[in-house]
Amino acid sequence: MKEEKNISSSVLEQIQNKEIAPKPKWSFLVKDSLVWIFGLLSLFVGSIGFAVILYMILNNDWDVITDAASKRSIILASLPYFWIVVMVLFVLITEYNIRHTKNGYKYTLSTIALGTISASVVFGSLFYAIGFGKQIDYLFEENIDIYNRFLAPKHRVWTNPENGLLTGMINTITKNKLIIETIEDEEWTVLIDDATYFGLLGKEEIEEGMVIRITGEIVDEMQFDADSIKIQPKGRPFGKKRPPMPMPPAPIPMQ
Amino acid sequence: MNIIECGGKTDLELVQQTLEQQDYFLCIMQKYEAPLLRYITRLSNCSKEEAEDMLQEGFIKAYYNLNEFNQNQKFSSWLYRIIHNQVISTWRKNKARPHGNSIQVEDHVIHSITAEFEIEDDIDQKYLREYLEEILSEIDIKYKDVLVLKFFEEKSYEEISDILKKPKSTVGTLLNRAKKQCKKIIEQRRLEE
Repeated sequence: MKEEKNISSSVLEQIQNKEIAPKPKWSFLVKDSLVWIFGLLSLFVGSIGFAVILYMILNNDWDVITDAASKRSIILASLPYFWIVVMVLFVLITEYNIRHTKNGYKYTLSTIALGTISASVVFGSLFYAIGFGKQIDYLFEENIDIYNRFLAPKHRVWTNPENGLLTGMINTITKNKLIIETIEDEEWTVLIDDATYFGLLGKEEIEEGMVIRITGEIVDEMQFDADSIKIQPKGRPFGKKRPPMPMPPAPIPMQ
Repeated sequence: MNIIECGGKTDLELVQQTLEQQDYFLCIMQKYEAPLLRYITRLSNCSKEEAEDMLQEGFIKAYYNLNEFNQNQKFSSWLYRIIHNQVISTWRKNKARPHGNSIQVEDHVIHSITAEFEIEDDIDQKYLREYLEEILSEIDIKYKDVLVLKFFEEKSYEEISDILKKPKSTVGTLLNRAKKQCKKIIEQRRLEE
């Protein structure tokens, strides 16, 4: 009578016949490491996103806008939606990676989500404190046109002269007025006689190439009377615009 | 095949020896063959032959992935997880849940369910015993998973958490919902009769 083979012996025979060998330990270590690396990278990007969100919200020159209605109207328009989406996306990716670590399944989704968001906020705040938020915003602004136009249109939000808001790069300075160029390449004359200066920089520090934010009203075609002015620090980018080149010195006449 | 000594060795020792010498895998398989075969049958309600096929494939997968086993975990949980996944993937391939094959329901299972689900009414207990197989075939798979592991396989919450890769709190929630569904089905049976 043919002896019935049991399952165990049959499996061992298959393993031997097919020369099946255990997958090497290093392959599992590599896989586990990659999950952690992607998780940490995602956390890093999510934190950067939060740092830029903080920078944009805290540096939107709210102090210049004294009118509450104007303030309300630009709050929604000024929110850094692009960076909020970036942060949310990378928080989700981080959470996915954590769930796929060896012990990640032991934690509920809400615990992991809360932990990830908290970590992004903490690290993002640290990154903001050391200037990362500002640097990333500057880098994107100077190099990515779509960033200025659609993703973080803060200059466009401030370019609303009909509603008393204007921003531009200073091209010319005279005693009582400035000629500025907006992000949409429009040239405006700004009357500054009666303006109040906010922030650290005053009238004496104005230079060509600086960016200013103004509240006030239109008084004539392409003419704006300033109530409040905030001068942006030197080096503050204004889209891809560059400060006007200084005039070369006049040639010395030959004798 | 070399002559090997299985007796008195822990699972961890057997795993380590298997990685050095293939034949020791026989010790692991012989230890878990019967309980895993019962588990597959209870979970999938399939025939003996189908269960044996699934078990064979599961054992081969376990051997292939043996280096993945984390020593901080129970080996039985790790092995049950592989077999659980094998059953689920076989279902998905076949796109149909098998039915009609009977599951042996021991007294300890009835007692455990009765106590855990607070079924005190004698009539309800009678229906539970009679209709447990039907209840298991009607209930959602995510509830059946935990029911079979808790009451038939007598696994702890921690072991179930490791096998199903779900947090312990989720296991508790699933068991509560399974209880509600079971009671609902029992009530329906009572009304039909």
